[in-house]
Amino acid sequence: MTSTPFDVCSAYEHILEDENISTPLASILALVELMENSAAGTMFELVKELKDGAEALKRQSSNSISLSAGTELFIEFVTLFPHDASSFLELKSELIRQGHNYVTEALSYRQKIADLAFDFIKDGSIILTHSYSRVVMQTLLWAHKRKRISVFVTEARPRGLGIKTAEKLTAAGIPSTVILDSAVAYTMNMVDLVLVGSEAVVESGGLVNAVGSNQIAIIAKAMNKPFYALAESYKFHRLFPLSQYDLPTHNSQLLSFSLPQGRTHRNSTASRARPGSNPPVAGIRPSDPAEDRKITQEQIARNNPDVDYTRPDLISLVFSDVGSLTPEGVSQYLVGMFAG
Amino acid sequence: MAANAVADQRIVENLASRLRRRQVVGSRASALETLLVIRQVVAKSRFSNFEQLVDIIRAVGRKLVEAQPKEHSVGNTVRKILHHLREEYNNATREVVPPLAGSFSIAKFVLQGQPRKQHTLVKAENKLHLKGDDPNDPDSFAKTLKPVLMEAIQDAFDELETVYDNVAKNARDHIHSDEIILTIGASRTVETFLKTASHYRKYTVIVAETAPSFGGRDLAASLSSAGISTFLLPDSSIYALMSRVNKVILGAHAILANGGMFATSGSMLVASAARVHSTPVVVCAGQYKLTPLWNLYHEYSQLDFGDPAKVLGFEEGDLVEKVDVVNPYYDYVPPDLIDAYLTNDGDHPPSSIYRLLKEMYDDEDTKL
Amino acid sequence: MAPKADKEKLINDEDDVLQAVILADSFNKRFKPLTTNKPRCLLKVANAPLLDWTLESLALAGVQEIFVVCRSHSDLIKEAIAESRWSRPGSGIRIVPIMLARESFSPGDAMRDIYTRGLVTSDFVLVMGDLVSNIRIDEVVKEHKERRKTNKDAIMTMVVKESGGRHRTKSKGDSAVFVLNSETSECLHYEPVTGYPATKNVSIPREILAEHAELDIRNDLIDCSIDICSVEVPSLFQDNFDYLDLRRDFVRGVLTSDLLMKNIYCYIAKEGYAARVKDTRSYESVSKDILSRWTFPLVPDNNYPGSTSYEHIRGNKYIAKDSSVTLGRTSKVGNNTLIGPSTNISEDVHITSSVIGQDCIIGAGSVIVDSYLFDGVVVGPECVIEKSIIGERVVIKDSCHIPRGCLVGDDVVVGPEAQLEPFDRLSKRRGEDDDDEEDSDVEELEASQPTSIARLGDESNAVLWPKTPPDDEGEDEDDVENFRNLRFMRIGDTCSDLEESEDESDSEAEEDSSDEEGSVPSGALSNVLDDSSAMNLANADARAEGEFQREVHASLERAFAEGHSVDNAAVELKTLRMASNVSLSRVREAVVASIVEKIRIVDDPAGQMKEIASVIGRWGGLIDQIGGVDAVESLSALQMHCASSERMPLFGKILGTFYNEDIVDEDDIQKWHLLPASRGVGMAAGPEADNVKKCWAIGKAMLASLAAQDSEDESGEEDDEEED
Repeated sequence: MTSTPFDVCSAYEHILEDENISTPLASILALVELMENSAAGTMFELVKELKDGAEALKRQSSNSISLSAGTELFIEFVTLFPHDASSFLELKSELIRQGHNYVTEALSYRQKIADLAFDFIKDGSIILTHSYSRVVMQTLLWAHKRKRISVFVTEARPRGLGIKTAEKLTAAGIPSTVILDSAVAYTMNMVDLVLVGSEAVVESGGLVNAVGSNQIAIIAKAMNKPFYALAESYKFHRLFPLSQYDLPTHNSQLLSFSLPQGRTHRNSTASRARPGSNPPVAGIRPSDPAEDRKITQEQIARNNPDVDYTRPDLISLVFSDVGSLTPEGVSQYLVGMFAG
Repeated sequence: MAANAVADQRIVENLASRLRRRQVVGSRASALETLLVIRQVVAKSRFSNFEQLVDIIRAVGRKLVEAQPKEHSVGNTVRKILHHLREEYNNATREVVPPLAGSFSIAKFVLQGQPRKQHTLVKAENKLHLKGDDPNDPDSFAKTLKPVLMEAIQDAFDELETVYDNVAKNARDHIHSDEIILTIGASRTVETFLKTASHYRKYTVIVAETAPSFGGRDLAASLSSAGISTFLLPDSSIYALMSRVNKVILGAHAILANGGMFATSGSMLVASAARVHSTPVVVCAGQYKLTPLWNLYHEYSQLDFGDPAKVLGFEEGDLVEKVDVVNPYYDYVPPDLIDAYLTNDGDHPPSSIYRLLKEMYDDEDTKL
Repeated sequence: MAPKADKEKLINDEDDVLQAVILADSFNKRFKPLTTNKPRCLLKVANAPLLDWTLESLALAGVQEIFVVCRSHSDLIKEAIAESRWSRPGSGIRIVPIMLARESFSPGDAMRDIYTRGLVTSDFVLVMGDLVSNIRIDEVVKEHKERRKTNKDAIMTMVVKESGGRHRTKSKGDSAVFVLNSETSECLHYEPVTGYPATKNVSIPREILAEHAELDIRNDLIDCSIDICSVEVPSLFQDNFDYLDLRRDFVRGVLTSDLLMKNIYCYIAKEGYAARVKDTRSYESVSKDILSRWTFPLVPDNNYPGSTSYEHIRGNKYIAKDSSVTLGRTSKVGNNTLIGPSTNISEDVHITSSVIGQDCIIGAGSVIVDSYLFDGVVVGPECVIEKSIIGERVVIKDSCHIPRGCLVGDDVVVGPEAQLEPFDRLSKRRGEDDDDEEDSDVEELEASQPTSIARLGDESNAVLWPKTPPDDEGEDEDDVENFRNLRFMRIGDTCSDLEESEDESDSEAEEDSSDEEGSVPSGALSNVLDDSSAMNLANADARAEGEFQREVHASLERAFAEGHSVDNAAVELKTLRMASNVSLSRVREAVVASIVEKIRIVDDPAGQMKEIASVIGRWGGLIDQIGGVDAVESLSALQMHCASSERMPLFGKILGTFYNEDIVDEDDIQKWHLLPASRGVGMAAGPEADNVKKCWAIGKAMLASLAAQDSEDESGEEDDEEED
């Protein structure tokens, strides 16, 4: 049909431009588009193409975890779909239809979750949230309609998305304060509950989310505050990390110790670290040792993880569109889905 | 709607009012009464397909739960019956209705993952020929199905009848000779449990007197008359004595989905004291107390507040005006303070309550 | 066979449906102007109509058939009953509204109506339409029936609740002293207590003290007005058409009656709660009791008689469960507060210990304390409302101040910037198009007031109700409904001024009538109820007195003339006494006077002596038969009568005969002798006072001679005085 080669990655980028579509859904839609453009003649070929597409998506993405939650779900579904259609073409179009249907349906999941979480948010609660999450936003806005909530938002370095959350909340009339990531323990005593979104919920029942979630969970546990994670069911991910370093996003570059470096290298670093800032003042030598030892935000960000893993025993409940689950419940779901 | 009309029946209304007026109290009594009412309703009502029957039972259940939302065993009983009925119905109709292929979707696929009890063997002799909505004989469906339904209800009934003994059947495995056991409140389940254990072991029970209801006094009297060496203890001394206690046995009002529970007020005090001394805390409870609701951790209104007159007499005119008196019936005890639940269906750690619930009830009934 | 019959009867007893009668009319105007458009029993308490609380209280006790007796706005009550959940098929309770004629003005009339209609067939529960209770009345009924098996005369059991001396739920203006038999809880005497005129003394008939070794005299009981009545009760009302009030007339009547020989018992509820919303003060206290859960299980979040369900939040706050309530972020809801559905509370509002109805709007910055807002009230910004009751759909515009004790009737608009005074009562000015037969009070009010009153604000549509007692009506201070006493029943009124002024008037009263029974047994001339009102009522009293004296005299004349037996004469006197409602001492005076007058004056001393002996011998017994032996009082009566009569010279001889006939003995004379009044203390100087003194001297002489007789062998210690 089409002669131009289909690029799954650009399709994915294109889909993501829609503010409402989250990465797992975008990846599912990208795969559906791939399928529409596929010339595969058998089921086997089709599945192989999908897997390749998923691999390509994963490769281009810096944060592949929630993306692969989506692709894996879809591929698993395609594989297990009952083969009772009369022709392969028919089957394919049915699968495409299913894919679209699911994405449409999945858009309502955030509201479902907001409804579930609503009962757990008491009038007058002070809520701590972390970074920016669409489902958390929707839940907070929903709760705000009926209950008087106030929100602490962590700044969530390095991306600083917490500021975005606070801005949106304030615009909606919810009193919110941005706190430093380092001030979580200081704040926790005032907090009634912690609500965080998720990149993925993994098979252990644990949570993968923007870095900092883990420490918040640990502090919440220490102070006996409930820690709730919000996750649409397409974020259930078949992964069993035993530690932070088992996450697919971990690589050797992260948290590497920097050795004292050579002078030449240092110069280049320094100049790169201050783009657009005031130019070096005349009279100060560029090789000033004080200037050399400066560590920049970018440097820090580059050496630090984007996401971390929170152990299931720190999580009170996971709210998802299939119900409020204990972490054990999540792992049962995953086992049921992928082992069945 | 027809289902609502059924729910307005005298017998349902009667139980609803008695629940509301607290003339029926206690988990087991409420569960039994609920079963009796549902049995009568099912026996009397007319329905021509399964959905109608489910609607009727749900309407009755809704009414009863609304009447007394704090008595969780009512809703649990209704959920349990619905689950039983569906099971029986599915067994009976397995061949007649094949699952529709068209209903398969990704969302359903996800839902497939939810834990369920594996269906036991289909009883071959139970294959009834069921045909709903027969225009010629609208009652034929009901007629064929009713005996099976009654049997299901009877099963639930039998379970309730024997619940105390079944919880207590392994009592001797949990209590050893010369142990010191501490308990609070006046739970019939705990009472039977302790008495059963006393047939095999010699041990000592410390009962906290449980102000302001002082149920502990009755329990202590009953235990000591059964020949168990018993001490009655003021609630304030629980912590002081905890270091000598080998095991804490508690009763429950309702066991929640996260493994926590509602229990006589004072239970939280006992459980916390036990935690400090690393004393194991064991809860004895019938399965009908398993409730598919979440403890809303901080949710004060989930607890039940009684008459302040038990704490401060109404005749204290001056105080009544100036002091707010509260008399909570229950404490919420979080799962991490509980070591095990002993039920009539085996012993479970708090973390597996969630799974048990999924097996016992159908998700669609969580909200009746 | 007899046993079988008995058994059947038992079964029948148990099968009997328990009937209840609710008197749903208050027969007074304490809630005006809130009750202008609807009856009191449909006022909302904690957002549920009062009648529903009452019905639930009865349903709780297993009552199966309820007659709701209504008078004013009966159509509204009928409608409310038809719409309530009690009328649904499954409720198991039959409710029959009964319309009273408009001319019925008292509970007594209602009871007579019940009798004529023959509504009740067995023992029934009689309550007022403003009761909130969780007492297990069925158990009281059981007790009552049990008692009836042994004592057919136990016609009624009153349920009372212990409350301690001072209690917010116990009314100061309208309570009672109960005299109970400690063992059986039989009510032996009932004495109503009012706040103004303050009841300071209670007279308890001597016989009660004499007959019972142990008594409880209690003033700490809340009268819940729950009565378990036998079928005879309505018929007694029918027989005694002058019984108006259940307590003041009926209970007192039955207890003081020597003819009826019926008993009334009390049931002192140790557990449970019961109280009546009989005035605005008790409206407040019952609301507070409900919110602080004393009425459990009858609380807003459990077994609530209204239609909405409420969530109970820490600090006894109740907020409608359907999350339709909007609370401003900076608003503060304090303890013991109920907020109805769809109510909107703006920023910076403070609400404590209050009840807010359905669909209310509270403007920013307003403060509401201890107040009761009915449905649909709109409060503007920056208002202050304290201890007041605000009717339905009232609009209070910006920056109004409604201080304690105000009652604002339905649909009133006040403000902006209205500054009400404490205890203002407002109702809506009626348009001219409004229809006929409405309250004449209101029309009068409107006529007498200018169209706008400054302190109600420019946009107000309200008329003010008068605050001072109406002068024209000739205040009857005996009535519980007198203006000052009603102040004790007003919401927010501390009555501290009344209590002070009472003390003043009290000292006056003491001078005026230092002759109260019980405190000064000097032949008490006045009855407690009359005492402090003696000033105003002296004339009327005197008239009634004279009439009674005349009647006694006439009755005795007849008895003397026709030669009745002493017993018959006594019965006649008792009836007379009941009819005129006078105290025993009055009767005694009258009898003594008549007997003394009966004595013919003969010149010859021996003949005179004989005459006296014959009259006293024939009729002297009557003095003791009229009810209770009180020789000292008889002596005082004799003295007082002789002092003002031409038979003064006979005093000594009559005294002697009294002694001889055993009507009095030496100790009585001694006691009489010691009384200051016998010496004429406190009497205005004049011939009478002289005579009194003379009599006293004669008595003294007689005592001396008696003493001499007693101690003949002792040497005379006392000076021999001349004998008469």
